[in-house]
Amino acid sequence: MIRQSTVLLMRLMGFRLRRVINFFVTLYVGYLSVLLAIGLVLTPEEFLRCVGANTALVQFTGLIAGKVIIIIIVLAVAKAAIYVAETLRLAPWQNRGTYRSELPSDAEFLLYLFISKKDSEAVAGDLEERWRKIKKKFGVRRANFWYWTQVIRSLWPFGLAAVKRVSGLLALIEMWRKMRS
Amino acid sequence: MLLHLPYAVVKMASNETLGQFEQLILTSVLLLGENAYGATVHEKVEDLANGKSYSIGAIYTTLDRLEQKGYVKSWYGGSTNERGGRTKRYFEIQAAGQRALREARSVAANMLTALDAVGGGA
Repeated sequence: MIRQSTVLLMRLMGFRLRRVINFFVTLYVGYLSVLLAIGLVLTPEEFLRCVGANTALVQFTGLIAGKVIIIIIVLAVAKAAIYVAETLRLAPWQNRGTYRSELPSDAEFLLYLFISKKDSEAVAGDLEERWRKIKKKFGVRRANFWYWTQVIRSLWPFGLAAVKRVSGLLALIEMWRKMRS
Repeated sequence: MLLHLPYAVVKMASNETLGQFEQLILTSVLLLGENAYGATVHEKVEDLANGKSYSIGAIYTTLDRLEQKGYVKSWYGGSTNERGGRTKRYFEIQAAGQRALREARSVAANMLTALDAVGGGA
């Protein structure tokens, strides 16, 4: 339910709306910081009285203070939703970039730790090829999930092969075989 | 018992019989012919195994082992845009690999015949 609502909210928001919201959130966070700083010493009304504002302005500030806080909370929630959607790659504006930016590069990096450069290129290419097929069929999130599971499950065989290579275990086995034959 | 362990390891690495996974991979390479490279072999193996999922790491390390035994040979070939311009590693089955597959098939056929005789294959 929460996920569906987030997706719907993200679909309703376009790229421009996001920028507008970012701007206002920044503005209101700044405003809130000023209010908090003043609030440590004075309430907003007291502050306005001190700087010589007329009575009407003081009353107006008292009236809107609650509403401003509600607006700040709503915008903060929207900002958090955008952050979550971008992290989960659910936001519609993320599909506008190239597919390269959608590939889980952290997972790809893990491959490079265990495999030789030439093999890692081939393996990463194979994974990318199938990732694109899965993405086309099931979407980017599932494709990324598949990619991650492949890399994690491959760490053991690749890691073991790397250990054998480095430790010379393969050479020892070969030597033993020759001795026996 | 422990004294036999290195021998068993050596036997595993060098003997002529193939494990089930090695059979799957060799069959896939044979079926794919000129189009046998990592991604296609991976897909074909999963198809042949009734959709069971295998990791690309398991495929590559097994192919490396088969190459060391002389059952397949590999080389790096052309790349496509589908894979971000990265090179492919192609595989081709060798005569020794075909022989080993034939032997595995013959053993499997014997087993099936024996199972059919006792009604265990149904």
